[in-house]
Amino acid sequence: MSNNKNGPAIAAKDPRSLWTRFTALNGSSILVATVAAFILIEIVLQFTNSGASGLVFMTPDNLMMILRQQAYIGIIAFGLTLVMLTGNIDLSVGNMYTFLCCVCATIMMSTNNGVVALVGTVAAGALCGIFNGVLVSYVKLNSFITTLGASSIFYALALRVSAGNVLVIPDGCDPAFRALGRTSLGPIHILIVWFVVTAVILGLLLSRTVYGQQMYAIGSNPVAARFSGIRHKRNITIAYVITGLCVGLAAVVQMANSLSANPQSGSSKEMEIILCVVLGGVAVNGGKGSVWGTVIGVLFYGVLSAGFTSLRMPLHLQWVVMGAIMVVALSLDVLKGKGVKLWKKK
Amino acid sequence: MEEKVTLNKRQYTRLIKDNNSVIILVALMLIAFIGIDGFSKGFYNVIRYTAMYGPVCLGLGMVMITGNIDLSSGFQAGLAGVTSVSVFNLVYRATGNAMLSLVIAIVGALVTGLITGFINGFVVAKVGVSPLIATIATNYAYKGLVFYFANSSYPADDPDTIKLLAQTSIGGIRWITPMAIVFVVIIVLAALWMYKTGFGNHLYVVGDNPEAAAFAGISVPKTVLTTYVISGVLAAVSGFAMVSSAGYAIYTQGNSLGTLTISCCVIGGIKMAGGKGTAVHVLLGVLIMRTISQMMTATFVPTEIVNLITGALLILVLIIDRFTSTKSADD
Repeated sequence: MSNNKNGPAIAAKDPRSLWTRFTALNGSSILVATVAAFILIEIVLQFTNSGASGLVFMTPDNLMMILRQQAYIGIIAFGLTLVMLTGNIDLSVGNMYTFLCCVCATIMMSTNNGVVALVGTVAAGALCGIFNGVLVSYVKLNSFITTLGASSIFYALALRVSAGNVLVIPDGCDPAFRALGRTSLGPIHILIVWFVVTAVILGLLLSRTVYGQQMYAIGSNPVAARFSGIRHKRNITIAYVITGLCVGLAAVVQMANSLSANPQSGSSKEMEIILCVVLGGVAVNGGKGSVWGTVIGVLFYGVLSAGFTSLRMPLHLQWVVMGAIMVVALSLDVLKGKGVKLWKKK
Repeated sequence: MEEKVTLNKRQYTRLIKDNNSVIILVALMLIAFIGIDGFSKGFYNVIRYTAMYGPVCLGLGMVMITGNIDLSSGFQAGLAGVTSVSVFNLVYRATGNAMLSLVIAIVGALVTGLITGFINGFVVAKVGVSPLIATIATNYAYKGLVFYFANSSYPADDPDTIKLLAQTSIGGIRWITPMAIVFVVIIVLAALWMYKTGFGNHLYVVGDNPEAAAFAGISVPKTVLTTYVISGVLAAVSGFAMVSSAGYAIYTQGNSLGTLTISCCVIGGIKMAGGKGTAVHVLLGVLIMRTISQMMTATFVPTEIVNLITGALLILVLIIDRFTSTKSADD
């Protein structure tokens, strides 16, 4: 696999060492950081928790739990990866998620039909995506402010749909709906299946299709992409629509799992999601990154938050530590890109 | 193409285009004063809230003029508010002197703003992390601190003293508060600084074209760092004003402020791309947002409609801007 999407094809025999090639990969440092965090938290837990026998944190069960908790964040982050690859951004995903959760709950409470809820919510997500996408690409508005405005609008809609209340779907609802979020395929929870399926589909879309390659072209040089005949407006709109679809899917499966929608809950989820995407190696100006990188970004975030919870750190202090870690990680990434050596090699 | 069009006409359109916030504000005010009964009675609230949210928006405006962005301004303000309350309580319990505590609390808030602003500025200007992502990450940390200390109301030991700044009416006129006077002074100073001094002008040069600014001998990192520090301090002024108006600190004081400040700046006429807008534009933006909010309160419209209108107005301003643009950027 070549790691340089825009460069010339890499010769079959790469003279660089395996380590150099690994560090040149997108998201390699964050992968190392994730594993390091995993081990570190395990060590701390071993010391503080003297009665423990064997591994406490680094267990397959725990990894499954982390994946399950982060599944909806991940699904949204994969969609957002596409948008951010083109050099745009979507700040509305957090409130869009809240809105679509309320939509899903309302549909379920009125029809009690899982299929209708799934199709309806995902379609509503696509509409939200079209709204953002058309404004950003065809009307050529600044994506940051546009999606900030859209975020406000979606929040208003969420409050409107739910009338400000927490919406709870009754426990005895359509079993088909429950199956979307509460069953498991063998040992693997259905939420993880959704997570993996979305990652694989979008990952292949980016790395194996013409559309995916065009997204990289748009992100790295929009003018050149336009002159080479790439239909950038259509492509960017599609990216926003895919994000909307992902948010819709995330809302449905998370609702099927938790059965309650809180119109206040989505606030600033977009911040976490954007951080996951950026930590996974997507460049803010576009043109660099991949869905695989985003998977690692989501994992890093999930391992840290689960670890902090295991260490019994209060939730709000977790945010402080997480923010500090993010700042350091992003700074190191930039310094690495600038070629600043933090330590001398002998 | 249209090079021969009379310069006067182009300047005229340009003037209207750059100052469309004046038209929006005047139209809103007319509608509000004539059409809505309760508005003039509650008008002092517009001024009070403008004085409260004005400083943080002004700080963000400066950052945006240099072509950067600060998403953490809301929780910088919140954090400064929390610090001011805890410092106030600490000194008040130690000395029992309310006025001394007030002064030290204000200093504490400003120092907090200085530190948070410096962190933002350092990461963005010196290290070179994208301003959007960097301030999302720092916002996360500041937010955590605010929620940790002020997850529910975090009261000051002597709320009457802390309320002096935002809640006393000077000369019996309800909208002249010490905070309003402070804000007027800040706006005047900021406008003079940005218009009259060389360093203030650097903001525009950096925002317009950072490369050209660097070639002209302007230190871009230093300029950007300075705007972030000023932005942090001004956010702290707002943070203290919010505590002063409520008598306690609470997480909601920072929660929606991040979006609100950006909306105020953009609606006022500051451009995301940088290099455009003045302190007065920020003032107009805040006044517009507060007028809308007060109109909603006076007509008992549910709060979610405020969000809807804010979002719609943001997009509308961008669309107006797009279609009145004199030169077509691309295509």
